[in-house]
Amino acid sequence: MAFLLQARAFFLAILPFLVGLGQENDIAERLLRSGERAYAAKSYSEALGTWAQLLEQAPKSPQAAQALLNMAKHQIEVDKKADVGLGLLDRIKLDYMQSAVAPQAMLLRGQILAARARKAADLSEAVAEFNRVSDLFAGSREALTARFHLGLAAMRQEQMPRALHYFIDVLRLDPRSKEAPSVMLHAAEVMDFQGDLSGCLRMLQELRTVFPGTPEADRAALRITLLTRQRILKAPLQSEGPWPEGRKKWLKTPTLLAIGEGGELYLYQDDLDRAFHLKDKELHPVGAIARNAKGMVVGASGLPWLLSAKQGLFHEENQPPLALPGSLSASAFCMDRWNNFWVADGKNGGITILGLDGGIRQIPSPAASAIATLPDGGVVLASDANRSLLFLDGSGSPRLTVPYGREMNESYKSVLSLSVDLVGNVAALVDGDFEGVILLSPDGSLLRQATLKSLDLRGRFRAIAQDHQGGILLADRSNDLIIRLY
Amino acid sequence: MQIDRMIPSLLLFAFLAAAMGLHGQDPALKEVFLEGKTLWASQGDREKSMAKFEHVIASLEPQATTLDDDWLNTLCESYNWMAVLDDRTPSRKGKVVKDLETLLILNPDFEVDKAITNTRLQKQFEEMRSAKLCRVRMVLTPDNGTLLVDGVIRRGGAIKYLPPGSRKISYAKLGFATVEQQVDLVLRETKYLEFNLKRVSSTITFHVSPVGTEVFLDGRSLGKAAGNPGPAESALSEKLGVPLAEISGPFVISELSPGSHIVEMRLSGYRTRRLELGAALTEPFADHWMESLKLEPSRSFLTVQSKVFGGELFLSGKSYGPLPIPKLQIPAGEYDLEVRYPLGAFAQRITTEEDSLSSIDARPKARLVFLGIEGGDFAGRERLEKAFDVLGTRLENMQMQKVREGEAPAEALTRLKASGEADLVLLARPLPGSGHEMELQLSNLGGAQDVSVIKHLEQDPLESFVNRVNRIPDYRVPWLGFSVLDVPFGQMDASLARGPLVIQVDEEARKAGLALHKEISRLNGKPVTRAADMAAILKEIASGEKVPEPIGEPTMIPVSQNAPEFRLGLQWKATEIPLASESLCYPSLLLEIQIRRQAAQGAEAGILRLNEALCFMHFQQYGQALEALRNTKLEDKSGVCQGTVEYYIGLCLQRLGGPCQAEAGEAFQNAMKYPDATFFGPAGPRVAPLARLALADLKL
Repeated sequence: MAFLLQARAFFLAILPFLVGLGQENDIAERLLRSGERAYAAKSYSEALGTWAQLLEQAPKSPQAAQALLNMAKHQIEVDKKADVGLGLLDRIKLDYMQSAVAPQAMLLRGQILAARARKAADLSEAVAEFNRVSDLFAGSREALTARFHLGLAAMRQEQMPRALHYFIDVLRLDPRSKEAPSVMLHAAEVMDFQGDLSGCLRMLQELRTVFPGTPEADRAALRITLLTRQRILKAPLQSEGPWPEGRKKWLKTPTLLAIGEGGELYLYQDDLDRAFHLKDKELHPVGAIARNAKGMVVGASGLPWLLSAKQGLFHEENQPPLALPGSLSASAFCMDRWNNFWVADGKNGGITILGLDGGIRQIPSPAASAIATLPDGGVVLASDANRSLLFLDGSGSPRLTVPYGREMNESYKSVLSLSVDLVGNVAALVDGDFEGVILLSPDGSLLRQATLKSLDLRGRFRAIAQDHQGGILLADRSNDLIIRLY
Repeated sequence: MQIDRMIPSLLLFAFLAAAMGLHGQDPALKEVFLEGKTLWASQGDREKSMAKFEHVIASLEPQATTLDDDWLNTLCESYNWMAVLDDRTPSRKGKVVKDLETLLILNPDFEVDKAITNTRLQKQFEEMRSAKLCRVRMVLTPDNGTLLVDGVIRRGGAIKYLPPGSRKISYAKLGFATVEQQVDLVLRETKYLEFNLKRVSSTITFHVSPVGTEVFLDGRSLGKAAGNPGPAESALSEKLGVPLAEISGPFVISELSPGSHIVEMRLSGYRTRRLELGAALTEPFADHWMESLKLEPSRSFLTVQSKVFGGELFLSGKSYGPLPIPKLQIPAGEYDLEVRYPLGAFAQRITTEEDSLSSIDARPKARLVFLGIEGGDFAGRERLEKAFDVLGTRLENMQMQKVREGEAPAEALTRLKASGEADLVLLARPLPGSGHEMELQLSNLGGAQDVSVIKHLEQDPLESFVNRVNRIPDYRVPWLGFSVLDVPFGQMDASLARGPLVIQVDEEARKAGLALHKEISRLNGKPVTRAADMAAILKEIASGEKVPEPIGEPTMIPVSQNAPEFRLGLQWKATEIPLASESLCYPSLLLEIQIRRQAAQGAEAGILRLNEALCFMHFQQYGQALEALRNTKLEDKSGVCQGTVEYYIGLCLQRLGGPCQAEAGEAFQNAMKYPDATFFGPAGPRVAPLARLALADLKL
């Protein structure tokens, strides 16, 4: 290693001489490779220094653009300085547009901008960049990737037909590309959102056939399970009894349930004033303490948010809660795809949307007892006052209203808890003439139902959640246990 | 070359020369010679007589070395006359010595005509000969052999005079062992030489028709029969029924050792004659004349057909017109068969057998011309060149050719573009800025190009290129009218679905009894538990199936859903090739599709047209893609069908922009009329939602 360092030092020392010989490209190539070797050895400062020297000594060489891109990637991926990275990428756009790395640089720039977007409108600059890559470098692999990202952006903007258009474009270009598994998964999701269940299932099947063993194929298997069990086969609900493994009286007044992104269960125990994460069959306390929490949401970080009607939204331990407007009588909440909180007012009606940046806006709605996020970007809320379930899109506009008891012999009067699974199936724990569980498809049609009585369940059930295997979990606060329905 | 080895061929030449006579002189010269004699003898006109002899000399002397004995003698006599006449002309007396010297050069054995030559001149001539040549007395047994002095044939049997010095003299005759003597000749001494040859084999001589027939003895070629018989042998013409010009001169087989032998006579276009020579013919040694032979024309039949229209047949470079060619009569033998099509060509070396029919089903292949490797010398170049030398044997759908010797790539490309002799060209060039990588540019003559990067120092640098060029994706799949899904349920769900679940059903399959959302339990009599089982069974069935013609009943396959079986018809459904797959080489793929399309009919032609259009779309040649799509007709109402085609028409028009937008809208409208139309294949995503979006975008 010492020898290598000496050799590198010697090389750098004789550089001016070599430049004098007019061997700019050769030097640039050697500097680039030297930097790459140092980078591979995790000697980051040395690598960055070598590339900086390349830019200084041979700024017009083809390798200069590659050095800039390498430096930008380092800033973004290692130093987590996206702004610095963006500056370097802008320089590539400005000075090295004809270089071979220009499409990569623009694609990366678009990805950073997309990741930074906090609302649909923020995506416009990223979309423009992806469009530029797609148009200027048509036929390149980067153009294919850009179209994939255009699809993702369209999904986030709830432009599902357009998202599908881009995803199918990518598959048309190369159905075996490295992006293809993810594209297929997203395309299937969009098809389901658009009501094309058959197309969705065919795409998922194709994904599992063509790319077996990939994480996307595993995700496809989960979705297939949920879609076929809940929407196609629709077998009568049965109780598996206490879960997991028949455990009884092991909780302290469970009142809230939630499922994390990986399918793991979170539950809130009212007597202990906090949430717990069930891992390896053991409960682990997680997040902040909050008394009498009325709602729980688990974000991508795995740390739950708890709604305290009086104090606000608790998250990290020993941190003050995110305050809610004083006039709000919060009854339930959920988190949308932009990490905004939708807080329902149980008395006065209306939904208050809180941004993590402190922004607040309100949308009209009837008073709601429960609310949950839909995978297409909208939300579903239960209004006992209106005796209906409302499906809203991402902007809060009503998309669908499902009266309580539709398609049922007996109706219910109130919804105690709502849960939405990966594919948008809505489970509700309901009370009234019909006291039990109902399962609705994203279009509001009734899929499965069962009364507690028919399930031979007795207790005070207060929360509902759906696991990734299609099971429905119910929290029984009086018996301190969880029941799984299948 | 050793003289011993030369002797048989020299003998044969001498024999043939003697038999055929060395013709070629104008017979009128003889008249001139006689006129010269007469002018002097009867009229005493020396001037005119000399002019005649000078004319004869001027005509014959330039060819003196090739003249036959008769004409050589005429030339020598002319010089004899000139010596006599010059001697009588005071002004030309000085030429006499030259005349006599020339005579000695032309024929040392020449004896002057004592009737016209005075004693003084005779003596002068003899003195000159004695001063320059040695006297030799030869005995040649048997006669009519060939005498060689220092390797040069001397005609006319025994010779009398030779230049002094060491000479190698040999005497040979076909069927006899050659005798050779090395002699030292001294002026004014007479040398006595005796050549007594020993018989060692028999000979056989014959004429054969046609001229050029190759003669084989016991499988060894003895050469081709050449020349023609002399006019004296005109009877041969009557006997064989062919003109003398079509009969060879005598062909001698000279080395017939004791025992039996096989003689074969072969000539392209004629039946081979095979003769068995019995041992009696070879012993005792003798010279035999065999009856003249005539080879009969050969006859074989060739049928060449092709599903592809527009082929023209060439046999060893000669055109036989457009295909199909039924039962073409041609001489049996080897041919380089080529069928040239508007796109691609078919080539094969064939051997047709006598009186039998050979049938060829021609199928065109793309013609790829390798233009060469650019970039001068570099490490590994020789190895790479060797890899290109055998590339043609690795490309399954190509017929590879090379450029002409010494032709530069650019020059070859210009020629090929002008002549249309190639469909694709391949050029290798070093990748700029890389010492160990090369790019292979494969282009069609329209300029559409594919570039592969290879590492020429790798074990098999062309492997990835070969794989890409050889890969032709499926453009149709077997289909029973439904799609299935593997449901990854746990044990608790086993009662719900144990086999692949039906999630899509075509109208026909539904009518046949197939139920949606029920599992398939058996297919073609075999139990199935996964979609992969079904795919394997379907593949097995399809592998033995021909793609059905437009008219014809499909094969019916039994299917069960945990209930009595029903039957579904096996169909072939269109699929799409990807637009930008790295594992495909689009110029060659486009050509392959176009070649296949030439032979395709009905639905298959439509599917190929669609995929041809997709290839054009790969090259962003939307105009050509549009043209191909407009000519595409797919009868299906579901899967990749006319609705899919309409969508792509709209897409191409959209890409072409400008005034095409309204028409693009119509195309998307048309696409929406096919609600079951899909992309990619029969189980692919539906076309209608995308057509709807495209239409909405156009209206914005």
